Amino acid sequence: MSLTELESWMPVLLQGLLVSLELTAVASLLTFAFATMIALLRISPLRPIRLVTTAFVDLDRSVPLLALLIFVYFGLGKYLAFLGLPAFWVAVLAISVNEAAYLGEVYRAAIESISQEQWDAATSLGLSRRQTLALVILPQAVPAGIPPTVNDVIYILKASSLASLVSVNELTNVSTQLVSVTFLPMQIYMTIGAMYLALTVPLSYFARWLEVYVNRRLGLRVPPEAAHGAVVPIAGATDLSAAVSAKDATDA
Amino acid sequence: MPDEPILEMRGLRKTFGRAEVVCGVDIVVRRGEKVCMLGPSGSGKTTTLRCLNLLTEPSSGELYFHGQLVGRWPSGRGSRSAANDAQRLRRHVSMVFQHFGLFPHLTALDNVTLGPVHVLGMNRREAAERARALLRRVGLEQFAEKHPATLSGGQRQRVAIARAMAMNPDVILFDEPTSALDPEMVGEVLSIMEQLASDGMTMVIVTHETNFARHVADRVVVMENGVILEEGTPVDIFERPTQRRTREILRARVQA
Ligand SMILES: Nc1ncnc2c1ncn2[C@@H]1O[C@H](COP(=O)(O)OP(=O)(O)OP(=O)(O)O)[C@@H](O)[C@H]1O
Ligand SMILES: [Mg+2]
Repeated sequence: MSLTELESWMPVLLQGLLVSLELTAVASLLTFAFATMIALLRISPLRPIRLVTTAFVDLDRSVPLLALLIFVYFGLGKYLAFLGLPAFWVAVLAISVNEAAYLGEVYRAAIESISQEQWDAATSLGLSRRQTLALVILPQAVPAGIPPTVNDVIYILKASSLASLVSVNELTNVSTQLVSVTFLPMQIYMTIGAMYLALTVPLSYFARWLEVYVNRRLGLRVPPEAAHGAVVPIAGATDLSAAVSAKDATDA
Repeated sequence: MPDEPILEMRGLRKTFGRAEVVCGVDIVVRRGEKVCMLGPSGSGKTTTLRCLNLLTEPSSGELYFHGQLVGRWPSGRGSRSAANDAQRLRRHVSMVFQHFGLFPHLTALDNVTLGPVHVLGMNRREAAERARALLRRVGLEQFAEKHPATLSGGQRQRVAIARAMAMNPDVILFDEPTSALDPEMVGEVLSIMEQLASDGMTMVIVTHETNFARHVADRVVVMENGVILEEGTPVDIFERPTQRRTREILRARVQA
């Protein structure tokens, strides 16, 4: 491919990239908010609240994102259009609601990994349940939640390409359109592949660095492999996913 | 009034599932008194102690604080108002745990100021000043900015004692405060507790340290199988116990 050709696609691709990034940013923030809510509801002292949240999480986790996206856009499209909800927001909502069920369970596992002794010590000082969560439990659970959160941003970035199926003009969609006029699928898809890669790889390194940094700030133990600078970008995430599955097994 | 009861538990029972682990215990703790609780493993000492600050909810019994009824179990009351009463009680009843229970994300100083700032509503400056004074009392002033992970077991337990004292409690409950320590660190913690005792603090102490109990206790309570086997002054219990089981339990302790 010639340089001028590349120059002529670039603005189009960059425009698509921008939409992908917007989609990822907004969906990540919403996922984070929903997931936090789900985790806190899941450990509520009130049984009915726990039951309803659990049912919602189980249902949500069993629906594939693509199916949810298609259902919301084509199935509920009429009503959403009536509400004036554009495709971009349909994609944002579908992605974050779907992802929040998973990330919420990871957060819950992180909270539940803090020992009963910490609850006892805080409670015995006269702190309320809410104060105990805010001042003692959550600050200790945060480091374990960071790598899965950043990894989830990476996942959402990749999942944002599914929005092309509901006509959002993000990176994958514009490149497909570009292919249909240039007939250069190989070159164009390689280019956007490189773009996705250029975003995801630094993000996974960032996740690891952030976990070590936060642990240090909080005076907590730093995982040995991280302390030596070895790169194991998603170790924390896999640990917690394993914890979630193990917990599910015992719940069942 | 020197023998005014501070904490009084009547007819305490506690069941976990089908097992009754405390079966009808009465305990009165008077102002300035040091009560030591001894007994074999699994006899219900920890459970009894945790019921005194309602960290564990009794299955049945009545708890009084300064003669006022805090709660009566089994209770038909809404859990919210019961939780509020329990929370209010705990402002005045501190606890020191076997495994310290320090907050690892906070410095020693912040561990000590957390309660005063967030429970007593003290301003941070004043809380920090008092916390420094308390850390000085337990010999740890120079460790104020350290996190628990960097302290030895003995130092951690001394911070935990300072944290309990910072609440200005009416009574401090100790659950085997030296059992998790290396032998060479037991002394430093016991001597802080002795100092606290001689300052007149009211204390309930579950311990296996019979020597400490002999020296410090006003009253020794011996438990087995969820009941109080015998109680009395250290001289009564250690020199002329009325129960054969008491003698056997104490002998097992001395040898262990
Ligand atoms: N949360 C709980 N759930 C179920 N059983 C419990 C619970 N806490 C204590 N028990 C049981 O109650 C009994 C009494 O326990 P407790 O901890 O009060 O004994 P203890 O006298 O403090 O013993 P130790 O000297 O070993 O600390 C034990 O058999 C214990 O297994
Ligand atoms: Mg015990």
